[in-house]
Amino acid sequence: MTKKFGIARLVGMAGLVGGLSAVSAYSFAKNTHTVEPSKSTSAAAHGGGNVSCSTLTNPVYFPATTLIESLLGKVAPTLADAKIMGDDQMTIVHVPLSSCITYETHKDQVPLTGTAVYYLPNGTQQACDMPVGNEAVLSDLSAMDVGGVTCLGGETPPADLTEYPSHVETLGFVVPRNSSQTAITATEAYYMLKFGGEQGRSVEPWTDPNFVMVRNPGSSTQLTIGANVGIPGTAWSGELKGHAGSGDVRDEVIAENTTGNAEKVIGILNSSKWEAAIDDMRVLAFQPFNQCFGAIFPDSTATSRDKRNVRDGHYPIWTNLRYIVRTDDQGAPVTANGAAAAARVARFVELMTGTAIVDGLDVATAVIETGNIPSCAMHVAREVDGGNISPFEHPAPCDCLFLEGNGVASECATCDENTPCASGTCRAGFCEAR
Amino acid sequence: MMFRKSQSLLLSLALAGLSIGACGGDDDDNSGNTPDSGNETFDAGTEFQCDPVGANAAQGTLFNAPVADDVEVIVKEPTHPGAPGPTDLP
Repeated sequence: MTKKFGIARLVGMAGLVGGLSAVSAYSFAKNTHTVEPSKSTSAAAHGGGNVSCSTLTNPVYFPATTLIESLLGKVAPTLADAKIMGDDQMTIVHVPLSSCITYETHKDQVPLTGTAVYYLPNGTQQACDMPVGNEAVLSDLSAMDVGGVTCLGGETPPADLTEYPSHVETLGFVVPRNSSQTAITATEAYYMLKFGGEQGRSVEPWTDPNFVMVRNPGSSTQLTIGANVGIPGTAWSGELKGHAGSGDVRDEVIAENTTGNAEKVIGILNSSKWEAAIDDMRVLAFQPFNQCFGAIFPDSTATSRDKRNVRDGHYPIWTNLRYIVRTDDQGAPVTANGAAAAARVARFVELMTGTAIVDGLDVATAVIETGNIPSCAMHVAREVDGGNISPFEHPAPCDCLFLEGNGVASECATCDENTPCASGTCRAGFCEAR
Repeated sequence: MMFRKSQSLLLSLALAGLSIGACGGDDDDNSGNTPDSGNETFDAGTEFQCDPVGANAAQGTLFNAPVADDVEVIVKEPTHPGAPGPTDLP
């Protein structure tokens, strides 16, 4: 049976409680999201002995997709380092949530509660507790992997919420390393996700919905994949096995390597997660609707790291990360936490989208190292989530940097101040085509 | 099974032939994809048979653009019931 779920309901569930620990208090055992309060959803769960997030230096309250965890792990320590950032030092306080829940939380300015994650300058990940009661704080910005219009079911987003598109995240279907499966077609995915193993409408070998590891209807991974296989992520079978975060999907898929069920298991995941677990899981090749010659991987082969088929438009399951910022009539960031917080938001977005650069903070390389694609390495773009892909030329391409950063020989000449390029443009040490 | 492009060309052509029926037949707008386009699928005479939505010609062109010889292509025997989508799915 197919069930439909409203984003508003999800927000009502998760937004009210917010935070990592609070969200995990709900059952995602099925894709039904039945509310099952845990035994520890009281204030005590929010005061778990961590420091208060409000005591951190220059905090940026940031409810954001779980898909950004790996990237934050690389850039947030630098942002917190006063030696590198100077007056721009900031502590990114990440509240990991599904994309549309982060959007609604920021749009409606729901007080943040529960536990968040931040980093020390030495790279150590820490947890902090959101202040409660009169001390409760609101978000400064959010980030998600779909557009606001998708989260709002097609409605126009509020005019004061500005979206800043950033890097590309590749998504796909994964199986345990011990599975023999190598590919899935869009039509197979449609049947599997819509009907959840219903008799007569099942897809071998993924016939048992208990082994089809999905996320939830507010997840950008689920929404993006749904948009590419003809069944919206809000309308997948309630029999599938839902998960709060992408890390949960990764862990459960990996765990099935040794249970004897590997062949039945399939999950949905982002490339930064599967590439970090490449010894334990594999991404499947995917054949989109209307694609005639067969299934292909996001990369040129099952084992390469060039994202060639994403970058040239053959592989369609990807999305842009978007930073969501509340802006005034002049387009300047504003936040309920004051002018200084708004200035930090502006600086953070500038740095993360590449419109500003600080020595010692290499966001493009961090994007590459986390399995994602900076927009400068893309040759296609799309305006609408899951919509048509069209050719795109970045004004300052970084294909050489992207390939070399992934250990792929780019055949690009190297360059520096003393060694100019014979042709093209010297950028990040490589002679790019333009 | 895995095939390199060069190894799977015949299978691709066969699949493309099957796709004529699989993808439906609104081929009113072939959007300039002609024989000798350099795309084996189109050149096999199928043109936009795998992209029945003429308005999405640019999309179809990108999806079906030739891939380099070193790109791994997997030609899979589908396990779903019924005909392939995107049209006429239950």
